[in-house]
Amino acid sequence: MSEVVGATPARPAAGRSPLMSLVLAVGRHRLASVGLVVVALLSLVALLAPLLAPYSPYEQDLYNVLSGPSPAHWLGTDNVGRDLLSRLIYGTRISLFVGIVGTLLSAAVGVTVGLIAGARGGLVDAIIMRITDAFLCFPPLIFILAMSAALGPGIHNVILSFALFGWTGFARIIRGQVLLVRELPYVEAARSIGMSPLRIMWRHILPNTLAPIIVAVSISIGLAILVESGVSFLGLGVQPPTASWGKELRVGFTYIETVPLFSIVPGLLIALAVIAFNFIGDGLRDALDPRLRGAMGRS
Amino acid sequence: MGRYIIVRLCHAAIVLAVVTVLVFVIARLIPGDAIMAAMAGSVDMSDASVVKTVRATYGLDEPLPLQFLTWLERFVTGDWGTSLGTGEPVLNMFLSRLPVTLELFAGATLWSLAIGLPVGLIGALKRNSGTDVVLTAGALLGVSLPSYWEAIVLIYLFAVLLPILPPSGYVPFAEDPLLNITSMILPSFVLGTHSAGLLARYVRGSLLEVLGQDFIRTARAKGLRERSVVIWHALKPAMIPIVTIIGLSWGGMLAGAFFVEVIFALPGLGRMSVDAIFQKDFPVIQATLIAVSVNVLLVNVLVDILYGYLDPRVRIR
Amino acid sequence: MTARLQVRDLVVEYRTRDGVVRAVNGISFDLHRGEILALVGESGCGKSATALAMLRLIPDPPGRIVGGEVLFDGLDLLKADDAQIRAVRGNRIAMIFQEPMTSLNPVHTIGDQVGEPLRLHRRLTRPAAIARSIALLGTVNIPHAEARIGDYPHQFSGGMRQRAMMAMGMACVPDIIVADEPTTALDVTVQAQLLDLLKHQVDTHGTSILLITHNLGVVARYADRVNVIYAGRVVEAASADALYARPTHPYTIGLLRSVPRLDQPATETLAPIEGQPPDPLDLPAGCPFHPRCPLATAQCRREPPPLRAVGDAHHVACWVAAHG
Repeated sequence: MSEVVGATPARPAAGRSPLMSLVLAVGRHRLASVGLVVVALLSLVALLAPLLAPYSPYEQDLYNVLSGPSPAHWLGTDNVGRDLLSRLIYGTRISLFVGIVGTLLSAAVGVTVGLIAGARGGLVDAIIMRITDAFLCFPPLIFILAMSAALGPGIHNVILSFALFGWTGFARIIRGQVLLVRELPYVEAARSIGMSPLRIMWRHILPNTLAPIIVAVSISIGLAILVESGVSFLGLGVQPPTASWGKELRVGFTYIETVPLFSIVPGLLIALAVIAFNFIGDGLRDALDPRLRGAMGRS
Repeated sequence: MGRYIIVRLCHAAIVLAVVTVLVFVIARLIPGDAIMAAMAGSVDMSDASVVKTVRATYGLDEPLPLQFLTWLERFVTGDWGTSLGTGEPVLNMFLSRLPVTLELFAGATLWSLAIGLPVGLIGALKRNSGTDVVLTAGALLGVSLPSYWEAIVLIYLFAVLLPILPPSGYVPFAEDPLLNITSMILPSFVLGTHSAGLLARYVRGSLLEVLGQDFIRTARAKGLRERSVVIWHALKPAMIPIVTIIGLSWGGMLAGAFFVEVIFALPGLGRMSVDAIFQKDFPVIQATLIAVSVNVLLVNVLVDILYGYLDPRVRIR
Repeated sequence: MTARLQVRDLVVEYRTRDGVVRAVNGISFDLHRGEILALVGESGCGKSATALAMLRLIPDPPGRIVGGEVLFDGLDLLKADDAQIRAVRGNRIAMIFQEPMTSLNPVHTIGDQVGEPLRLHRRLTRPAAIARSIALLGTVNIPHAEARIGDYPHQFSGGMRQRAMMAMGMACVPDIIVADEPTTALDVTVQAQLLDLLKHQVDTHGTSILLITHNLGVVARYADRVNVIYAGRVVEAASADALYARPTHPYTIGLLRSVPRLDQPATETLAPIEGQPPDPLDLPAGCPFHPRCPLATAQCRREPPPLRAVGDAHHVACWVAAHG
């Protein structure tokens, strides 16, 4: 049945940029639009934390510890009497910060390495690819935990170790795309008129790899959030008294039998953020993957 | 097929070599001499000659490449060093904790197959229906939920609210088989749901891709019932990429085991590694990292071989 | 004599992202015992969709059979229950697909795939089905069939795969073989051999063949009757002889002019049809061919022409040609 649909001309609406149509495609995707809304809300909470939080995240009320929900403290207080809601609102900042900065760093490293591997080819490419293979042998969390242990605890080291690990995925995507795009006629044409390799990459290769990178970024932010809370849960991430979802979860776990909300709510927030970014990534992938798109149209 | 396996093995060997260098470098990144830090309690570090002796004992005064080779040679011959925390040989520690983790993994794999395969299958067969959307979202949930949170919620539900399962702890199978199994239900479920989510997504995707192929239409044109089309014609080609996921999920499970073993107080490799990380017990960290990567590499090679068995196009080469 | 297969007012739609495409728009034809009927048209005209719809093999979603009847052996295949249609598929009506590369399952052996209809419809055991498959591969001229029976499709050449597809289609000696572009991807000599095999099947078993093709040379040589399809409709139906002697619809004339012929004086230039096939999402009003038609009148732009007789068993859907 390829013929029938194959004859249907793809009809790009006039004046619609690829990026715009991508956004529209995500909007059409049911799960992805849910994810977009959640991410927008979380970003708002992070930006407006001082306005939204009813208390300072560090303000202790030692006469009122582990109180459970009350009109004064909607989610109750923690083990030293700090308002849990306020701490979680401030924790949003940490999670999004680690997610975004960690991802941007690893994307920057990965894109550079991938471009070099793909454009140079040969021995350079072979060496780089074996190194990425080696990185892929470690599950991300184990690698990052070992790195955090080596570098010492702290949020900056979590970001650094995430970047040190996360670049491999980006490098592989970019390399694959470069190999693909390199052979395209218009790139050959650019080369034939003497355009410098750097300029070719900037003008022709990078724009083509943008779409899969955006997908990877969205999924990577979710992963980074998961990693930060995991590392903080184990006690190697954010250091006291800073609030982080993972750390609240860990402290709350101690009191699970008396105040279950203390551990359940931070976990819900982590899950919500990670799922939201994954939904967006999924929607983007569906919108971009020509094979999946084909399956929808013809099967 | 023989050549194919050899090529895969060579590939794995190169990667392993890079891995060992990487692991060695990570362990040396620990600021200050970890050994010196660990010994500080027991010997007088202000005495320069003592420090020198200690450094010499552990080979820390040699140039790094030489240290690496010595370490590698010992590692290959089974001398994994002694734990800075417990003073035990690392290999013994490793072997004594391995069965717990293996049992956990076996249970998790069972859960993951039991949940992931049917969910993916049903999603593909009823694609774009309400059932499919619910299952797809559920699978993504399984992938995204932090395992430590899932563990905490399950403990709260099944050990606190409705106390039918032990909240944590481990009993060897030989001692009390029933208690051993019941104490493994929750941890293996938590570990299994994550890979079940991955598996379901890939089963669905792979099966949908195969069901859209021309040879499926050929099979239907022969008059096969839909069930036979799926079982005889779609499942086998669809399983080929899925084998990879089952292999990869073992690597992912190791990371999950870190949390699960800590939360459920299981004396396995994950727990051992977390303790080692906190104590900067780098012989143990090194051993864990290598063990993990060797495991992942071996599983990958196995997957490749299975690939060849499943896909005749590879087998003949 | 009533026809073996009657297709009446078949309508097939595809739902795409940009709207509903009516791929088949009221096609009707009869297929008699022992005849080769060709459906001819450009890619996307709806001829393959017609063939798939007859056996309800249109993938749903996105496709859907919206209306019509396919009468076979007293049964409307479009309304038959699952068991009934399965008993017809591969048994009484077999299909041979284009793209033998992708139409064979890569993980099963040729022998198992060729023998599958026999095991299903004739209840043969696996060894018996394999033995019969060897014989079938022999009749489609696969050398050393016995040695090749355990091969996988990727070990066969393109021509051999298409032969195996044919053997599979012939396995149950069906009443009707639907051949969807069976030789498109193959070189000319192999094409001729394979079509001769189909012709042989007609001569020995009285099989009816629905030949779907865009190749007018193949049609001229093998078909008894021809239906020319344009934009999901039959625009001209005639015997092959009549069609080549007196093509009537402007589209048919255009098609024939665009094919080089040996008996044509070299001075006469080939004349491609002007314009593009219509956008299936946005078919023109009236006759779908009018934007490309040199003879189009105001009526053509307004009303779709019905199929009307212009000669003995020669029908055409054209306002101008039917008048003239």
